[in-house]
Amino acid sequence: MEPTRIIPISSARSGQPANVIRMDPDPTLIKIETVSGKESISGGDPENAQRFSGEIHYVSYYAARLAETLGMHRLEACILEDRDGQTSIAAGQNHGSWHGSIQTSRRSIKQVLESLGR
Amino acid sequence: MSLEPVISAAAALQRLDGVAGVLLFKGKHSIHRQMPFAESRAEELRERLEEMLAGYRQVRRRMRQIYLEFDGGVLLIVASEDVSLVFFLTAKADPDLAASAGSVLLSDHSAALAAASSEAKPASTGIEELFVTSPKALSQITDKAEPIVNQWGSVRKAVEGILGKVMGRGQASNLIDRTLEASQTKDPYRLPAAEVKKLAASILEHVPNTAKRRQLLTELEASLAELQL
Repeated sequence: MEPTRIIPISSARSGQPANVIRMDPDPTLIKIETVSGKESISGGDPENAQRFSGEIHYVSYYAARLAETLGMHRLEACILEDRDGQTSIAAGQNHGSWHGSIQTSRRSIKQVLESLGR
Repeated sequence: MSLEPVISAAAALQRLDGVAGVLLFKGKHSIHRQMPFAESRAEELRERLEEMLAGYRQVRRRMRQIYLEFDGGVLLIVASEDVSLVFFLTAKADPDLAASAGSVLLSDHSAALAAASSEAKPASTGIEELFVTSPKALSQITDKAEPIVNQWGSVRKAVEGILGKVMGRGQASNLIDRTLEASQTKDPYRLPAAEVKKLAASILEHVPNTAKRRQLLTELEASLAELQL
């Protein structure tokens, strides 16, 4: 069976297949795209977006080193939890492309991964 | 304060479904290390994770949990103060269950872990240092030198690791001690290589299940070959 896809409500509706659920876009979702070495951030409030970018730089640096130790290739998803909340990050299809959010509530790993579309 | 109960508890976490490895460390001190790869690689992993966590501590950020999903597996780090418990998970694992079990372990053994040193344990070389104070000591050196240089320390570690697959770490350690006692070996470091091999195999002979015992003995042979015994 084809898996259910969740897409933003603003997208075109023509010929909608049965496995598509339309939802309002998540306002906390932050996206980072890197094109020709230039990083562009969209979504979330400015403070969280900047923090999210910082988290990604720090984690991806160590993740690359850890992946090398483990004989793996790349980081696919990450959840950082401290006493103030959770930062969730998922890698996009292109190199340097990430999306995720910063939340003050604590959710289970399973729930966070689901919210990341994994 | 003894770390033996913490080690046993950490070794037991390996039995959770999908848990391929467990590493418990405090700074440079690897309290328990059971990873599905060479010790040097596990040590490198500890160093890199400690460096990453130290960065968070430097900015006074108290990380509780870090989940890192790579293309070939997951690293789940459950942290409390400067102690970190790392799970190496396969896709079969329930990361929430592992995280919860890890938090309970850190909380239950917080006193022992707080008292534990964060410095690396000196590696056991199996070589004694002798101070020569008189010419008479020369004969003692030649008497002692040859049999002392065996690798019992590494062999014991290998046997503990192998037994860890069928019993708890504390239980494995007790079994080794009991076998040593029963064999009336005064000092296993003085045994010649062939005797060390025999002793290691005799420990595994206590595993009641024939098929498992045979499998563990095969693993022991591979470990001993790695140690060039």
